[in-house]
Amino acid sequence: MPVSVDTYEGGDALIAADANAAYTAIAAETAILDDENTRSEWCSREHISQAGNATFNLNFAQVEDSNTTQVINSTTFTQVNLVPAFRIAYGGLVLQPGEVLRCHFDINVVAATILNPNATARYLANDASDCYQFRFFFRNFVSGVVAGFGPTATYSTTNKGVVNPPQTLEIVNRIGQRCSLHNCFLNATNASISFDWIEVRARVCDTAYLPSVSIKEGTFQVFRALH
Amino acid sequence: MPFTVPVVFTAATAVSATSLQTNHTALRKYINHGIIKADILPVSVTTTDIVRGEYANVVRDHQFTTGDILTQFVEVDLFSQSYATSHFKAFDLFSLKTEAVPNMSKRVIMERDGTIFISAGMAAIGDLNYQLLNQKKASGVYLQISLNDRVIATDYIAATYGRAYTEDNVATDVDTSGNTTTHGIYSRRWYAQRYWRTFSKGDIVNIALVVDPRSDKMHVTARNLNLEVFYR
Repeated sequence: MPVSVDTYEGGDALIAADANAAYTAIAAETAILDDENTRSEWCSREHISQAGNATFNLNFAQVEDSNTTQVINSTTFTQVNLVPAFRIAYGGLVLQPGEVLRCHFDINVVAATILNPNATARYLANDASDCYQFRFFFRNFVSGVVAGFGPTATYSTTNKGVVNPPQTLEIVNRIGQRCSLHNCFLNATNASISFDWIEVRARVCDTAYLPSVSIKEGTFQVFRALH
Repeated sequence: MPFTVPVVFTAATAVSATSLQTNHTALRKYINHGIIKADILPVSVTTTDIVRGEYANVVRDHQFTTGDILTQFVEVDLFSQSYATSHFKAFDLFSLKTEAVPNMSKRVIMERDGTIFISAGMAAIGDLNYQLLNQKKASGVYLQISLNDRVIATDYIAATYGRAYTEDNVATDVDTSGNTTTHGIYSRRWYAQRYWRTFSKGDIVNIALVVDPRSDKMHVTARNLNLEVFYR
């Protein structure tokens, strides 16, 4: 809002009230001027120092391999290890409340050993016996506790619907699938979380029907997204 | 910090030039430099203060969470298909040579040092074709990153290899898809890939999804490509 200004001409008497008015008006109009009185989006990268605690995200990590084939044959989650291991070590990466950790994992399942194909029920879409899974795990740097987090990606090695049509469908094996697992881990607590490491693990669900799968050509990325 | 008047005049008191000048000087300093650094308190800069995407057609997600999104291409029309063939290979149909998928490439010139995070996905499908049975190989899908104006055949990233199988109506699993039925449609696989790489200011980065067709004819559909750039 513009501030009104009195104008004087030669010979006018200078009255204190008039002299004060201009300054008083300015003071009144600037009363709302404070640290919030900056327009939206006034700040660009050039205004922000990256010294000390970096404002912009600089924390990227990635593991990849295209040569090694790993056989997953356990129903217990086992570390994906294509030499290098798909583990990103931090030794105490602090995730503050409100910060996000993004994890992405892609890999091929290039072969599978599938048994008992006549046990049709085990290959229905609602049965996990023919499936393999991937999940992220992390070790808490403070407590030492290792725990899984985020969703579990489940893939089926066969392709058969829940309801049998009139004709008998063959059980169709499905390998060569590019598998993906993603998670945006938001620290929604009031306390920071310290990561020692994060890794990808895999397992088969039932060795009686799916003794093993072979995985190859994978990538694994983790980065912290500042809020 | 609001402006504070140094001298307040009172009635029946002479207004001196010095007092008047004091007020003028204070006001001039306030307007010019009086809004000082300390007025912007620590941690007062919030996400809404910071400039968002600087490019046309930018999706305005916050750059700290997702990076500036330079390109987003999403094609969900299953009838919008792009075809590729292995016949561009000089000596055989199955050596590893790639060609770019239409609409799935982007050139980025880095304004500052930064990291590009790439997310891509598509359905790549080998169609029924006429080549010999022993040449019905699984086609490859790769992410390819080239620097500057030179694109070379080895720019594809081996760890991003995905497989696209043929839908030939044969019971022989020649392409190692696991499918030994005559239902070729069971050979469909979805390809999805994330990847990042760090670049320097001034780098000219060409990012593309490429296929290595190993069949007479293959097609690509349902494509999406998303680049997030995290400048430093």
